[in-house]
Amino acid sequence: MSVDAISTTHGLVGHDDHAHHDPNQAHQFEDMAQQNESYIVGMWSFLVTEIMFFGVLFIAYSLNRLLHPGSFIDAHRHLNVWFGGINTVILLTSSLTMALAVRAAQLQSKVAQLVFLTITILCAFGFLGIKTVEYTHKYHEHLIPGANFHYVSVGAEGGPSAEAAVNPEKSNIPQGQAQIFFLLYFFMTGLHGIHVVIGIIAMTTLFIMIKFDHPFTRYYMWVEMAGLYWHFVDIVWIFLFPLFYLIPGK
Amino acid sequence: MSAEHAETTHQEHSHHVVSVSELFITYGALMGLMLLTIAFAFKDFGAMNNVIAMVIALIKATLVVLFFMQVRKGSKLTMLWAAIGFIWFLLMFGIMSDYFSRAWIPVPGWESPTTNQK
Amino acid sequence: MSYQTTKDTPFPAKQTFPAPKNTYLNAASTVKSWLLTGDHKRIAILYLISVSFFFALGGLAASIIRLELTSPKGHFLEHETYNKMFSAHGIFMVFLFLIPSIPAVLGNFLVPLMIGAKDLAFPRLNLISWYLYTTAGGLILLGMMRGGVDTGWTFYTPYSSMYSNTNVSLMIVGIFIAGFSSIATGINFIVTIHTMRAPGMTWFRLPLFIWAQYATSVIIVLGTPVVAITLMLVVVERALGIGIFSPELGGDPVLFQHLFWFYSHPAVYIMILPSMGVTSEIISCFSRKRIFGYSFIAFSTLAIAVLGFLVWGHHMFVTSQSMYSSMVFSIISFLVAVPSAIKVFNWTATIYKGSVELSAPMMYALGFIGLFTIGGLTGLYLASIATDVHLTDTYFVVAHFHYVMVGGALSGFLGGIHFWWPKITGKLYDEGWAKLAAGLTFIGFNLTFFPQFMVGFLGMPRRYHFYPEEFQAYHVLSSAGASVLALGLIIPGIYLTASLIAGKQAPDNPWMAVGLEWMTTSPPPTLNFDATPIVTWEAYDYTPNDPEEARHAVINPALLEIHTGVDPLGDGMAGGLE
Repeated sequence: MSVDAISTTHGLVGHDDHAHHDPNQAHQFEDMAQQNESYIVGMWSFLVTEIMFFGVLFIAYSLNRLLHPGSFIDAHRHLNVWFGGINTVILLTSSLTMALAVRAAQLQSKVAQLVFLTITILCAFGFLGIKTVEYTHKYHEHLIPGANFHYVSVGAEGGPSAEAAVNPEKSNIPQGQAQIFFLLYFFMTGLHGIHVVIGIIAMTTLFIMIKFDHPFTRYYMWVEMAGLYWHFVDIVWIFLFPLFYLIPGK
Repeated sequence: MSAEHAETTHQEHSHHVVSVSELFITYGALMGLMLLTIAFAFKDFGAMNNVIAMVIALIKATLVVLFFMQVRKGSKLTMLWAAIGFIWFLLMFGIMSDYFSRAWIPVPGWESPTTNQK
Repeated sequence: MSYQTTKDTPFPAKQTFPAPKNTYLNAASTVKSWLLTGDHKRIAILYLISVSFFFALGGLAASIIRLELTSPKGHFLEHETYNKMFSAHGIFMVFLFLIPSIPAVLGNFLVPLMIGAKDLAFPRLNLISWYLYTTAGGLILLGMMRGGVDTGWTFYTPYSSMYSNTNVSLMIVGIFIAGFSSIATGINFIVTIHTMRAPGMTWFRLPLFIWAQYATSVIIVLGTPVVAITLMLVVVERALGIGIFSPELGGDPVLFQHLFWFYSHPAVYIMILPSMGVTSEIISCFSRKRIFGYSFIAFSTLAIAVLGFLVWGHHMFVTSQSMYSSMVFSIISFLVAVPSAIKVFNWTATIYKGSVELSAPMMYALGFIGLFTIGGLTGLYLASIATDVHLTDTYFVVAHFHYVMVGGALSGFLGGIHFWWPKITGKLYDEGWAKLAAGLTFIGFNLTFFPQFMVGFLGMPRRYHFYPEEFQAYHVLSSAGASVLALGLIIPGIYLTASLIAGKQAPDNPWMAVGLEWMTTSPPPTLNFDATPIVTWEAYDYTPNDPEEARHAVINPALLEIHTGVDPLGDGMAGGLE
């Protein structure tokens, strides 16, 4: 093998001619296409970890519902399906406006971005507001797991169950099982709620930066990534809603 | 070469902007499915209730992934990762197979698997 | 046209190399420039220091355990102190050393270099990962100082959730944060390997180290969240007295084990796969041969990563797990042996008729193959349900996973550190001491853990410090071996540190290897390459059967000249390639 052949086959040939360097491009990337792809794939692999994160809780839920079906039916009557339903509508709507915000970012339309981000943020606050009302009810009903937990069954009609009407101290399912249901309820909706709060922080930051024309926001990818995250939060709720609010059975 | 390349891809990406009608149709479908799942929950189909609820939820999630998150137009790599997330989520439900198969026909001598938990 | 070499030293004896002018090490020297760096190489150094620190702590705990076990009546420690000691050993070693060791140190340093990128895709995320790691380490240290935990590193419920009154919650929060540190690294590697390969660096031109890092990152991303949230559930149980994992409150303790091992079994592959990658690099380089069956090794890496997720139940054969599940888990566990064996056979075939040079990294790599083979084969005993019922929770298990994790993962880590030390630091270490240390580690390791197979087979349970007197001989043998092993691990600490102060400047490519990382200076400049490399050759492009020819083929003379000012060909072709 001759030396010349070596230097050509093993050579390092520069192609570092960034004549028109995009100001949005970070130093480690060769070009914007590479950077865009990296951001999208990075966000998706992060979402995969989030899926596994919630997945554990879905398994804990499934197993406990399998082990204690009666308790889950009984306990879920404490949740108001209309609160859950309205929250679903709110989140689906916010997903739509977020998708529109991403579209506006791709088209670099400042006004549309601001409008759609505002609606999305308001929806998120609405969601949290309704959740707060629900949590407060649970607190007054002593359904927050822990030292103050005290479960009383309710009947299918919403009032106290026949047994509990006679003796309010008595519940027809074990306290421990009811507590598992409410632990899962609070853990899963709480973790979801934390994600909503993080989403609000991200979207508000973007809103302010777009409002004041921060050079950062000339790159549409930030809104797009916030959008991916927000749709994921929506998907989690799509599963939480039927699992907690819509357990059928007598 | 690379700058030029970046410019064209950037342009292409901007041209792939999703249409508004597509988003609204998706939104309508999601709303319809939500009403459907609530309606089904108030009828008693026995064990099928859960299946129906989960199938509807899966359809809704798929709609969000494909249209809102634009995986439909995404690169193969994006599709791969979206799929991996879903597949591994299902794989983890393999844990449940233990609980389902515990009650199967016992083998003589194996009636009571040792219960000591370390 | 050729420069004079001997077989063992490719560079003319006593030749000195000037240090390159602009390197990542001398780019800036303030503390701030280190603590706020985005440079993957500097973050790798930060990781190396912190990982070594926790390795030393874990090793200290191990020494105390081995000292205690020399006597059957436990003369030195209280029962609870002993429990806390093996828990500390496990937690330090697993969560703070083995899992981050190769990915966060060597992976961080080498992934961009090997694929010809300027940095990882997300440098800030990379730095955050290190801060998460140190926070986690700090919390775990705090927990240890406040009295430690007595649950073992596995945190089995309901003991950890209902009964243990040690610092379980604090430890778990630490481990939770450590998990996010590795997730950050994993996401970074996945994205970098997917999108930032240099022009011409196709998937099948990637070094196998990169394949291993990729598979590892996939496992990290898919598995770590599972254990993180499971352990958080334990914390919630402790705080609120709820029983998701406690049977008397309606929960199920076996669920904890399912979820724990759903991550922690694949975590074994997080530890071993990167070592396999390192071994592939070293074996090929020091056999001067193209690696045998490149694509088989690459795909077996992915196969191990996927199959590793399907075998968690083999840790639970003696729980109430359904026997049908156990059978399936047993069969799949056997299947993992297939890709593992493919790798071992391919490494062996690579060495066969190669021009083997028994350097220190090569000794570690050969040690890896031997120890991993023993560790893997004894795993088959544990994968068979019948023998596992006898061997569960005995020293046989302890010996088995130490053969895989210490014999495997640690050998790979040390081999990799030795192999890339000249590239990382720009200094040459003392080869004689290094060979001695590699030999001592191998001998000491076998002395420590082989007796444990025997004593475990005889029925000695793990995690006890009182034992029948007839087992004492094995334990004394094991403790004696542990001191040899400790010596073998302390010596590298000394000569590697010494090389930083008094070591000779390393040439760019001291091993005449072909990877892209050797085509830049030692140590590399901040952005790794002066120009983006274009890759036109396969990985492991060593010319077989003729070492002299191979040395010429692998070196890029123009580059060596540019970076070091040395003219290896003696043809006066100074500055031949700009």
